[in-house]
Amino acid sequence: MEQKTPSQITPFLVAALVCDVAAEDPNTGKKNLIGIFDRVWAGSFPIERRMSLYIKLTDAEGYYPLEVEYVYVNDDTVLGKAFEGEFEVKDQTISVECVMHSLPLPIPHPGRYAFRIKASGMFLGNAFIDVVQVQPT
Amino acid sequence: MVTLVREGLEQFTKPAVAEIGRGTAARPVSVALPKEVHRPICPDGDWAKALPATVMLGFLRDGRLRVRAAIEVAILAADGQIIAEAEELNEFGSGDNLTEAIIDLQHAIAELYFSLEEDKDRLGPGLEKVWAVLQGKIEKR
Repeated sequence: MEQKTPSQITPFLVAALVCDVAAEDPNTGKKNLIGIFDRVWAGSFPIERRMSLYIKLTDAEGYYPLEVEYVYVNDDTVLGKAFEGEFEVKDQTISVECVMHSLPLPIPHPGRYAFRIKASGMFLGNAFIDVVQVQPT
Repeated sequence: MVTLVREGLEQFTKPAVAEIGRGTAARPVSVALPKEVHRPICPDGDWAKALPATVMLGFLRDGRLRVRAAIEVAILAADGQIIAEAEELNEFGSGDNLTEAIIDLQHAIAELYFSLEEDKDRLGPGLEKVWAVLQGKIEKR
């Protein structure tokens, strides 16, 4: 089986958004992001919360392994891989969209969490979530 | 042509048990949680530490600049601080965690780019070499 060589052309991360639901229109393929947020409030920990992640890249050309790590930023703990896949694009002018649907993600503590986005091992950016503890009512 | 070959979800197999989040600007009316979500998700505390030996930096957090070829960054921990060092540019950033260290380095590299660009006609041999590396790695949008 042919081993593809990961492209070293650096893609540009146009958008990385966290939302409740990312739905694709079956007729047009357009993505609809519902409930975009960057902050979660919780009364106690740990919890889990479903999140969807939308990524859009451009300036890519060639074959790329794509990896998204879910990280607790405060102490650099990798809580897991939110996504692992690959894509191939032949023209740098074409955008690549990727949606991770409704991931049930652990939130062990208050603080800052990040989705770290890497293509061909190149770190392209983060989508951050700030988790705030509030008193239960 | 764009082909998304494989989409996977490796680690997060548990069902969601709480929906307590709100959007960016709103506070919740209530954050009472069901009891079952209070359990420790990882009781052994064996989450993998996310401190890699190197990071291939592909962006600079500066809208004026684009990374053409990824910059190799060595990651070190010293005195409770994380250091992100771009050896070929002789620049480093530091912070309490990897994210802060990389953001600090990104600012340093962007500043370095613009200051060397301003003085490009009167650089010494060392900085000329750095400027050449920068031009190979980074371009203006």
